[in-house]
Amino acid sequence: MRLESLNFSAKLGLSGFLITVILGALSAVTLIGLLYSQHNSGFNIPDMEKVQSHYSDSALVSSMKGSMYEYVAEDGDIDVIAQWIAEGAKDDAFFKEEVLYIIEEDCQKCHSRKSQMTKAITSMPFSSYDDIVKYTEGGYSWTKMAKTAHIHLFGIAVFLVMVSLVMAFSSYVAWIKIALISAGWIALWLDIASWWLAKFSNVFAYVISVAGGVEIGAVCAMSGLCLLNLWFRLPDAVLESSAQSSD
Amino acid sequence: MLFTQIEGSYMRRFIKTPVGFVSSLVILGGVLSTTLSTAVQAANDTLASVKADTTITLDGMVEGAWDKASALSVQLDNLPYQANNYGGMSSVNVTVKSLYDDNFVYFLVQYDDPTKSLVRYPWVKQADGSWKQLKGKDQTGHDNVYYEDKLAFFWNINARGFAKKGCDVACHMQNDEGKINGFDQKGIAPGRKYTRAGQTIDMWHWKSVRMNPLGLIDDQFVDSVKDPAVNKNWGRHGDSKTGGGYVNNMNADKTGPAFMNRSQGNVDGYTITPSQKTPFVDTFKPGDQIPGIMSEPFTGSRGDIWTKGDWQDGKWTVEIKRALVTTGDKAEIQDVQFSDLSKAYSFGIAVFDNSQIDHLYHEGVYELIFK
Repeated sequence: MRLESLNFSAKLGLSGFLITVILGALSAVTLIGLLYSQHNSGFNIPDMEKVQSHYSDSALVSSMKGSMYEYVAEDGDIDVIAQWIAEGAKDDAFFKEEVLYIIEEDCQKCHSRKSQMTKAITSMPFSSYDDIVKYTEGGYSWTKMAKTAHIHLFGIAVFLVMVSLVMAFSSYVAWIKIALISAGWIALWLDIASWWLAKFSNVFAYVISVAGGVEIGAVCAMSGLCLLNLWFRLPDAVLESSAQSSD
Repeated sequence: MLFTQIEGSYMRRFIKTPVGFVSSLVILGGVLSTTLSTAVQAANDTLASVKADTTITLDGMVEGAWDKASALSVQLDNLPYQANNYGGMSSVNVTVKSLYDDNFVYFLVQYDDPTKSLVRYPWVKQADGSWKQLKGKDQTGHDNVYYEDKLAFFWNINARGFAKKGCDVACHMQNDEGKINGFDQKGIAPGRKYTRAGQTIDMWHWKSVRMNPLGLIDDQFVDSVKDPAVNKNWGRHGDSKTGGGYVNNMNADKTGPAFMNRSQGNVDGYTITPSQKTPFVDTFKPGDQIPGIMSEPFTGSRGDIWTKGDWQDGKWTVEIKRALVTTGDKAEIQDVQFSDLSKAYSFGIAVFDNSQIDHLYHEGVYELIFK
């Protein structure tokens, strides 16, 4: 069975799926751009420093550098928190006089058990030392890694296997199919493994970026190519010999 | 057709190679990304004030002079707390335009508000002949039922962090124990405004009932006072004044109004202004209302911003005028000074929909520039 030989209704349904995958991938890229750049709208290039921070710094510092950056009054506040954590995150005078002051100013309005602000996060209070110290461990803990990894692996695997299978039934030359399908899966494993490894070396932050890019690129490329194969006549140069036209 | 045309061409041979194929994908991706980034424009956070050609009349009407200025659109969709009797808007889009001339800067603010709320703490005559002042307090002791529509600008003077996160730097909410700076605020206030020591923020507080009929904004400022024993409003203060203001319209034994408007039912009859002020004589029938507040124009620094707001067909239109540079008492710490027209000035906006303190606000900050 080849994609181009499907009936019209099957092509329509498959096209809807592939377009949705592309839109989902672009949405993921936009979200990554927003979370790891200095901007609050539009398509942005992620800042490597923020990517590194997300995967190697403590959750508290990486949030202040990343998704919560807009609520931090000045960059110096982040340095103070980072210094406190680097020195052991102790419940000492520095915490009470410097750290807690910043937390109150920048975080506590929403991160409070009784906050009623529109964006209140009452489930993650920063009201006391015990509340705050939970977010000072550097990088991904085993718990966080296991929680986020299984969700992403299962979720991405579901649509990646479907896109891979559609690609497998396309008419493209074998090396294109093998390259894109392999790239998608290998990039997925590298990406997620690096989330945890990044706490040991910043090199893995670059691996995350590259693998993530390859992963998104492979998914979009497979989806786009399959759409072309479904609806357009393609040049013989990219088709398997059995699918080439005899014009 | 297209693919047929390139058959046999150099492109065909090139794309057949792995390098050629991957390059084609990269180019395609680049084109897609560029298209996307162009389509999704960055948010416009800047209000450009342009030189006015003609005199601006403060009348709450949008005259042709405003066509020259482009509008900044600001979405307000956050509230600081959930008042248990708040019935106002949960989100509103505010548009702002600005003009300036050699001496003054002007603003045109417009926003949709389905309710024109002016009935602030009115006295209502009861069936038994007594008078009752209507109030609708929430769980914090602040009114959201019998109040007035308000609008506020916050202008940075020298507050740390304001240029990045705007009004939020002055906002301090109750902690888990209901305290702010160690003071119990349960049932008193959900939050307070104050800055760090030595830092101030200019606050332009447009009040549709108390000052709009007099053509003035209540010019206030926020400083670092965070002790209610020093100031009951903590860091929030009125600018220096030499006279004027507003007081409750209440008789000595607090059982009814002390004054009334000379002509009842006039268009601005929700406060009592000097020209209308006359001693209360009860010739009213049950259900009649008398304003619960009396207003006199501020003089001095507190009264150096002129305004006129008008509500028509579900929309407030507010025109504002202020000197580029003010010279009143303590103007240097109480007023933002637009003394350098090459600079950007950080500001934030909030809308109070018939609410005493619960206000719609935006996150982040906006900038005013002069062109």
